[in-house]
Amino acid sequence: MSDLKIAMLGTGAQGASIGADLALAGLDVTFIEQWPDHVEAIRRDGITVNLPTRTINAKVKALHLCQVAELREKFDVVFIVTKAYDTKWSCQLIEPYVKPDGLVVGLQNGMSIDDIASVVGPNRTIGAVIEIASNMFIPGITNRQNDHDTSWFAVGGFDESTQGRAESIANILRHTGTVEVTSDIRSSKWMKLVVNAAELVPSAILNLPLSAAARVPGMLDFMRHAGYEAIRAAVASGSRIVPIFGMSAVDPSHPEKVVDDLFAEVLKTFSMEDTLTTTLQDWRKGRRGETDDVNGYVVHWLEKVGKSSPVNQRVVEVAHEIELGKLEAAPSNIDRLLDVMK
Amino acid sequence: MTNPRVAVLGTGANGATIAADLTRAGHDVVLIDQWPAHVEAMRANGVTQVMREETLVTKVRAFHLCDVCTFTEQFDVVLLSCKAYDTRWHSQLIEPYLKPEGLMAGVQNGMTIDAISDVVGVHRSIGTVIEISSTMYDPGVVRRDSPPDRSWFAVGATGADTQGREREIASLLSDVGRAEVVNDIRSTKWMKVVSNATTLVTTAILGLPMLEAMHFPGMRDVMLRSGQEALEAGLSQGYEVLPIFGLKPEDVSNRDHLVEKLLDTLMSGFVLPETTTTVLQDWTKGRRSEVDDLNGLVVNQSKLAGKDAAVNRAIVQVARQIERREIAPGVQNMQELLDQASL
Repeated sequence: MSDLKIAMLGTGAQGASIGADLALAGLDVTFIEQWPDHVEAIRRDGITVNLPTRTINAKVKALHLCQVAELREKFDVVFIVTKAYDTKWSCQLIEPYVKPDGLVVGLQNGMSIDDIASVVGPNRTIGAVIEIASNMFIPGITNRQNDHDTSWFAVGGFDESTQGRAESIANILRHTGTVEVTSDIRSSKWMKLVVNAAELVPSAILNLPLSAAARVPGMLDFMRHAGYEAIRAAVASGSRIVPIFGMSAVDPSHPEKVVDDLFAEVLKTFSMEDTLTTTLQDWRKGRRGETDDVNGYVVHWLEKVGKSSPVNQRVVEVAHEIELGKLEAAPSNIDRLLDVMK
Repeated sequence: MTNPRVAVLGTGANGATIAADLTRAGHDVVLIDQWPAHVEAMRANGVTQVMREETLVTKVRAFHLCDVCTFTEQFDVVLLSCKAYDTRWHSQLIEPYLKPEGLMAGVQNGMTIDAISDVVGVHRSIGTVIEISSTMYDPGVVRRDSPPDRSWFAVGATGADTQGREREIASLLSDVGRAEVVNDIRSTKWMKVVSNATTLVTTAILGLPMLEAMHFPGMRDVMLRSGQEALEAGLSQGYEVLPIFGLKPEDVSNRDHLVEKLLDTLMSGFVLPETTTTVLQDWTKGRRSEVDDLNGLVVNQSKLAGKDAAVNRAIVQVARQIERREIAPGVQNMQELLDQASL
């Protein structure tokens, strides 16, 4: 196992913290990253991960994207840990450097498995769900709010051709958290998307940490409704309602209860008082968020079956205004959101 | 399009040249590049174009790839001037930032039209041929061996959707060099592949500037054979023989001397004694070259026509040895090349 060549493509808050654990476990890991200052900082000081009760540092190989064309060897395993909207080009960039029998694993939000499979082929695609709270604002330093005991992953083959190999990926990720192997990763990813639809962009629109956003009067209800629409979209797309985050069996006949329970679990285990969602981190850095890949995806699937999704539609609309600079993320946006619930 | 918003994606030696000339001509241009030190240098000092006649310094707006997701406005035109093998992921990266009615033109070697069209759609895709000799080793600094009067472009629609819009790209490129609109851009691009197959990897294998390599004993013959195989591979696919580099139709009417005509036109018109090919520049920097997109393509297309392109096959093999660092570019490779090609 330890002679596998592994690439972390995308080493933001999540990719860097996972990659550091793999490196410290003795695995052969190469970081490949689009943020130049981050690469330079890692080369100089190693990657530092601040965990709730400890800090770790790992010396790792770190490459700028432009250095991929200098690689001579191919990878056995590539973890794609980019934003969902960067999935396809990241895969196209790395595809020539994935062994013919290698595996590409999307450790990201959104239904990125289809993008990955379209580039590297279903026979090299593994899907994954990742649940870790983390943030990064300074190059070379990531803050991970869940240590191994509360970090959770699910992995599964894109289809039967890779299902038997999911366990090998799970073994790698067990160096960084709890890993479940599932035979229906698409459904698991949908369940994560349901939670994401409820939490990521809505709380960012208020420019508040997740838990503070959930306490704004009316907001918890709004977020849950975004999740209710999302779980209907999941079912409409043909996915099943399945447990994630290590929770016990769920009752598919009560989808809204499932959403409420999942969301409660996120607030309890995967969110601290100061946890900013990835979308709010993006916006504070002037970057786009994953709105289209999460809330937009829900709208897309419900449209396909002739259903509307007013809550997610409103989220998309307001998020786009913020990204175009027409509106600022602020608590006062609550009225724009709640308006749709009337 | 009046005052189009232009992105030049990939601002190595050629892309930086194009972007700097467009900027000086008053166009609205942003430069996007994957080499961080180069972006920082351009931000600090602009693009420096060193030419024999003069040195020009142009202030530009330069961005890292990681800055793309901070853009809030889309582009009317994207000029893609990356290596052929970077075409697909670059196209995919920039696609969300190309206007629905915008145009993307691959200003690069290789048959990249389909890769671009796959990503942005045929309705937004324009093909081009570029002939500029330039080199870049230091961030921010281009040595341009072919000034504007010796820089040449062909521009053509890749389908009915963009027919009539070639001028939008040609008028931009006319601020960089001579720009012709052509009817059959695929055939024209293949003619450039013929020239590339003749000159790029072949001379780089000897580790020499192009002109010096061509005069090395035995090399000119290998180059012409390689080009001839490429020409035949193109003909077998149904491509027309068309003039490039500003030649006239009558200049290319004699197919037996076509490859030689292209070679001599290139060497006398676009190349200085010190000019090294893009492939040798890549190898010097430890990067992979475009060999698969050029000579490798010739091998594959010949195979489809039931032919063995033995010289191109040999070129690919030796190039792979160099890229695996088993051998270094140098004149000592001449015999290996001849042996592999059974010459």
